Amino acid sequence: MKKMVFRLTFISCIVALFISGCSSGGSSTSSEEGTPGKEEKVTLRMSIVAGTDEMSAWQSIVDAFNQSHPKTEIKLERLPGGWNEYIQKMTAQIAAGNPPDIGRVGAAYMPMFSSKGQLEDLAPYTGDLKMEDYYSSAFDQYKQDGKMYGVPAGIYTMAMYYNKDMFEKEGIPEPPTDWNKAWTFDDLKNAASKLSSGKGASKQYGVYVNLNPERATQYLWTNGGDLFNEDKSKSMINSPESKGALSYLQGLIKDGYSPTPAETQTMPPDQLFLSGKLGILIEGQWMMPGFSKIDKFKWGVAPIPMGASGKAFTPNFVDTYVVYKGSKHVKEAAEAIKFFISKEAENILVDKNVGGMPVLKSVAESRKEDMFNPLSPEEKEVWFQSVEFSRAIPFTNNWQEVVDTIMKKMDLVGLKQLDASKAADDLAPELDNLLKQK
Amino acid sequence: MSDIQPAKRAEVSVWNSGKNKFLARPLLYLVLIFGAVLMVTPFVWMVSTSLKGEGAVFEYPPKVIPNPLHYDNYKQAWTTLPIGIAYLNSLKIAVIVTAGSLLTCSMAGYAFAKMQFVGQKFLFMLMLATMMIPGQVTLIPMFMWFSKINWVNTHWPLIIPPVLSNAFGVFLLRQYMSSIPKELEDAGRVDGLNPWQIYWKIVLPNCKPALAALGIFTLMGNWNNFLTPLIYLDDQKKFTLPLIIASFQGLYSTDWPLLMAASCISLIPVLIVYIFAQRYFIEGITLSGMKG
Amino acid sequence: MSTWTRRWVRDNAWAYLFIAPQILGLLVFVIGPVIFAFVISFMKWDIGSTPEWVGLTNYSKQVSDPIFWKVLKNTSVFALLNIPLTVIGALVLALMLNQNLKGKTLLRAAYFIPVVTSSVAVALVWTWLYNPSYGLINSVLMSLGIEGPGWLSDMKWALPSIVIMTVWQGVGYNMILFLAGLQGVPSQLHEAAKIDGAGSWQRFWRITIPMISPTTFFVVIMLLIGSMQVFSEPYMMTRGGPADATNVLVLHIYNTAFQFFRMGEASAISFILFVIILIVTLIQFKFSKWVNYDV
Repeated sequence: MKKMVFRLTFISCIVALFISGCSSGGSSTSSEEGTPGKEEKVTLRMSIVAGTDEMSAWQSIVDAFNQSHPKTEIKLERLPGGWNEYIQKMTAQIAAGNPPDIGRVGAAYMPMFSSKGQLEDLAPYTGDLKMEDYYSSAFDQYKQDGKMYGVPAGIYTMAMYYNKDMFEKEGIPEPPTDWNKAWTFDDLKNAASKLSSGKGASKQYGVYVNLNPERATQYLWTNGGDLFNEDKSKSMINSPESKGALSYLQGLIKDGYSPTPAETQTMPPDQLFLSGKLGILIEGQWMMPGFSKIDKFKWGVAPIPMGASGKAFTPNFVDTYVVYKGSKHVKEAAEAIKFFISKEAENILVDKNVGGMPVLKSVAESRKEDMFNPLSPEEKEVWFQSVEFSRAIPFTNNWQEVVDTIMKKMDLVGLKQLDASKAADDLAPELDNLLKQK
Repeated sequence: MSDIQPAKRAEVSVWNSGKNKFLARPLLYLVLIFGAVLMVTPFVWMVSTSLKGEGAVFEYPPKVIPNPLHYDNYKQAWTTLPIGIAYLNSLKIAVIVTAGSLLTCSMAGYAFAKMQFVGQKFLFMLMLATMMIPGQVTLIPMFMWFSKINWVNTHWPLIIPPVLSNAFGVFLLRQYMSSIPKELEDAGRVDGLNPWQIYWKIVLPNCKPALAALGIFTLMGNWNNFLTPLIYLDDQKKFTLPLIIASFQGLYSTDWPLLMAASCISLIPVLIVYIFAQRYFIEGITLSGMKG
Repeated sequence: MSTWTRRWVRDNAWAYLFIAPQILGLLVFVIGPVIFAFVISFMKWDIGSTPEWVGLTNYSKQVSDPIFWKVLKNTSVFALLNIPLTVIGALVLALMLNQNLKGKTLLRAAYFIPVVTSSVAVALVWTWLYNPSYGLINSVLMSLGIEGPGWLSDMKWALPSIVIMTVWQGVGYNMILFLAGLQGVPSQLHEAAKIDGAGSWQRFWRITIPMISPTTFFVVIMLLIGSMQVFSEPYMMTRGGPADATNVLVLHIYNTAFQFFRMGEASAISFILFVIILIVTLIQFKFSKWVNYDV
């Protein structure tokens, strides 16, 4: 019995040691970080999600800030993975009351974060920004009732990439580069039908139709329709114009000009384009770095074709610098963000070809030569001009759920199992409901 | 490794019987090899992609042996991101967790299999029951709790919970231990061994196959765990291998050759451990205390 | 104290000493968060704001939600296909590879490889195999004159496609468990039966199967828990599509929690799932007479 009591105490001592060892290990790390320097240096955490090839650009602007601001130090944390993982991690940190100070949030998530009160209002700190120096449309989406929950990091738009070799082979003339003279829906259909050929392994597609609202809303706009009405209180997806656009898109799939969602699951459309099996891909500027490496064929960029309204449209996606609620250094964080949209920082991003079109007009205009290479000067204009033809996707604070709901029907539309206008009719009341909930 | 005495093993073959013998063998090999090819395909793709140039990944039809071979992908994968440090971090965590959970799980498994105590059934079912709650809903409270005790951005949340709460391991070892003959323990008791000595000297040595299996699974699970380190670690210097590997996936594009090269580099220790552990799956139980 | 009581105390003390580390971990790292999640299941909580008590709403809402029933059905179908296929596949494999075969070390390694292959590579290769026009499976079928389905994009075939992939990955894993279990079958038993004139089939059914029944029981229970909680395969391959055809309970929970930010509802669904698994498990334990402990 005695022996056993001894053993019990012995083992519990070990357990206790183990546990205390762990906790002291943990706290020592954190006290290291909290050690005040000689003159109270403020340390800010900045957490972003980005590709490895982009990291040197982001690190460079952070380094530039750290060098010019001796009293503040930003630690850049890069989160591996995609937006889903980023949102999950931010959510956990916000719930625990310990979020990073600065973040970069995709446009689609902004309403969700700001409506839940998870972002600091930056209006009090950004009064000294000269708004006329910036593309104001990029700022507008984040201003609510005199508050500003974020600062645009860069503008991305979409356009039509096409394989020039395939066009030449089929005798299709190159589309114009002016957004005012964009191709029509019929032009696109004609081209797609000529470009589609083959069967099985040698199958070649004319165009890729993506029915995700984040990639398809411009077709509704250009046909005179929309996803929601102006104040996002009612869905417009079942308006005749919207239905017309959707039916047109489904027609391209039905005629076999576009791969179905099934095909693109394996072979992502950009890979399909890269391997020369896809003639036309309507996608975002973010594809530029990948496509600039193509050496097997010539390719170009043109405006997105227009529908019945006779006006071309492209969606814009503005990544946003934010300060998370709970930051203890909002002023310093705002200072850093202002630096990130300064001439110096924006030029660094252009140097590294990262972050979309600069929001600072002077940088955007003076660096045309360095951006969007290897495109010809006329084709570069497709991107520069696109900003004027761009609109923000009507993101809502429950946008993920909106997309989820829409995609459930659009999957069937893509599989040709549900008629596009019937899908729109089914969706309208569901979306109305979601809009009421927000 | 495979030349361990077959006499010890239980002969359970149902394919070797009688007249079918000559016909059954080649058929058996055919089935097994066909299955093996099916199993290995993604792995082969992984290795082959790791040696391809970026443009060649989605070529159709796919080439198994790329031409030319891009060995430098490995060098590049190793130098682009701090894989070395991540390797050390992952090794440290995996070794502690595997050793630790083998110990705690076998202890608990022994008690649940071979002892009688108050609350035995209840505690066992409670343990099993907690496995039935998906981790997605306990993620936030766990994070809040670790944040309170300042464990965020340390390796502790990746080490301590898997060592101290591994219901899978307890259940696995309990099942295995419960099929160990009582006679073995009784012999030990007659020799005057206390429960710890019986556990340590008699039961554990007879559990080698199960311990090897659990060891492999724990190591694997830890080695490939992505979400937990993602949520808890902020600092790249503290990252584990899966986080570094995931870093090769961009938001809009993925560098497949580098990603696969990094994945292959990460696989090596697991394969080595598997090769070592697998001898225990052919080593039969030694029934020293039981007469045949 | 009587000898009996002293012995009783001593035995209990020893037992608790043995389970102490795991029970401590259970209490600290598992029970706490589970209770938290349980409380949240009665609340409306979007993480940013303070939780708000809503009683049983989160539970009652599920009953009338067609998506909940859809994912419950999908999950059950998945489990019903996955469990038997994996158990039988793994057991047959283990039996085959437990023989004196040339090159069995290599073969065993081959069957274990899927477990260690990077899951990204696995998902990618399988989506490629399943690709309707460029994929290997349909190319083979086409050469046989059969037009293959759309697999992952076909409403009927999507879920079975995911099952096939899961079984593919699961057999190697569970084969290891069966192999370990087979090592616990004392060869003496077989020898004795042989002397009694039992054929190899008889010995297989009368000795091997009962002797490894604890392992089988373990494999079945773990597969049940794993199948009911299947997440990463549909998450990586289909995100639940097309049109919810592969949406399963835990994917639904994940979306509800981290895409739609309804933590309360996500917790409520989790506890419904918990009750389902628990009931099925308890039934299995009740009817586990076939499991043969001790010798």
